[in-house]
Amino acid sequence: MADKQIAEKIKLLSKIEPRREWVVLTKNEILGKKYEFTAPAKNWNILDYIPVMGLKRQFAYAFLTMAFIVVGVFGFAQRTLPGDMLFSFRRITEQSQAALSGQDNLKAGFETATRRLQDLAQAVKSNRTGNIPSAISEVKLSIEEVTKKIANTTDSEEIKNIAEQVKQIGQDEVLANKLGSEELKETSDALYKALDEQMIKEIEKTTLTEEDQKILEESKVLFTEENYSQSLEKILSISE
Amino acid sequence: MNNLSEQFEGIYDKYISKIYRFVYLKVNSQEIAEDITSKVFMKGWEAFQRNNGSIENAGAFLYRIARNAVIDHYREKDKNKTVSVDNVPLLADNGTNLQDLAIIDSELKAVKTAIQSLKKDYQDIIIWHYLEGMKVAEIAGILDKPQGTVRVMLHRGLQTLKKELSQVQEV
Repeated sequence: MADKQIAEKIKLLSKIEPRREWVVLTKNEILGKKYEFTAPAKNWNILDYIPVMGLKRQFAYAFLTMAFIVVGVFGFAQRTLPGDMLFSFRRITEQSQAALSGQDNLKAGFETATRRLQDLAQAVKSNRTGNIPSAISEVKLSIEEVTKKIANTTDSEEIKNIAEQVKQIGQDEVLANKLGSEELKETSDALYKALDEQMIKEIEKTTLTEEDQKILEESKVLFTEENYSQSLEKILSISE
Repeated sequence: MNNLSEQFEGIYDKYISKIYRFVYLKVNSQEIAEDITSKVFMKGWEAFQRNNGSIENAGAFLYRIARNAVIDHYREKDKNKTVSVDNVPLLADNGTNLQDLAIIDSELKAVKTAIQSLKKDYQDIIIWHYLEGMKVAEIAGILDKPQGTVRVMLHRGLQTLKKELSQVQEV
């Protein structure tokens, strides 16, 4: 194996990235020290601000009970799948995290689609047949969102990252079967097509070797034949 | 203080992914990598304030802290386990966290495993030079070694990695 090949393989490790939410929270934790305040001299209590004596304790218990219920529900909801009663709480948490981390639209959208695909895979593998139709709908919606964003983006680096991850997802047997099924084929084809179009546009701007030019032409032929996933594989082999 | 904070924020944004990646490749666990990396930046921020923002090469400085933090981590682990510090794969976290789910490509896994089987000095140099694009002079500054020595180590590290990768691919 040539040194150049090994160097290229090592560069694959640049895909390792920290979690966006953790990056933001850690930064706030470290630099947020400037926001320290000195505690007031008196030990204050929120109950001091409730005027009616008799209701203070009842209010405190009711508030704490509600807080525990809400935290419990949101915590439990993280393990739910589409179709489960508490799944909407999980969706709220994901959307809040994405907003908090300030992730850009396309990346956040693709992460959501990946999570929905993982949910679908889990539902199939653990034979939770009641969840599969909802999981499929969620996958369809999230992929359609991503496809729209891909068509409108100019971030070629992000497109390439997504294309590579989509290729990896296609290598999962369970997901590949589901993506090729009647319910999802049209949606997944539209995604592949959008990625192909953007990738071809980017690659045509670069100078290619003769071999790469040949691969590009083959990819375009596959594209016109509507073999979008194979076309994408070809294009990715050029940009590696 | 505000100015210092803004300056360090820029350093944080620039190096957080690099330091995290460096630590993760050495500890092979998202949770531990996050823990160690946040300690690295906490220490970095404290030193930055003490020196009133005058740190010559922030990247090199943070990598030195990160390297020492990983060594300390394994020293702590060694107190409880009888596994060699260099034997990272045996201490690997086999959880299904998001980081591991992202690394589903077998080729990427092979490279990661091969790098983790190298001696720690070679690991560091390979990661810094080939993954983070650092020049030999900068690496020599971090390790406090002559540039010639770093070049030799780089060459040896790469040859060992080549051998490891061919063995991994034969399996």
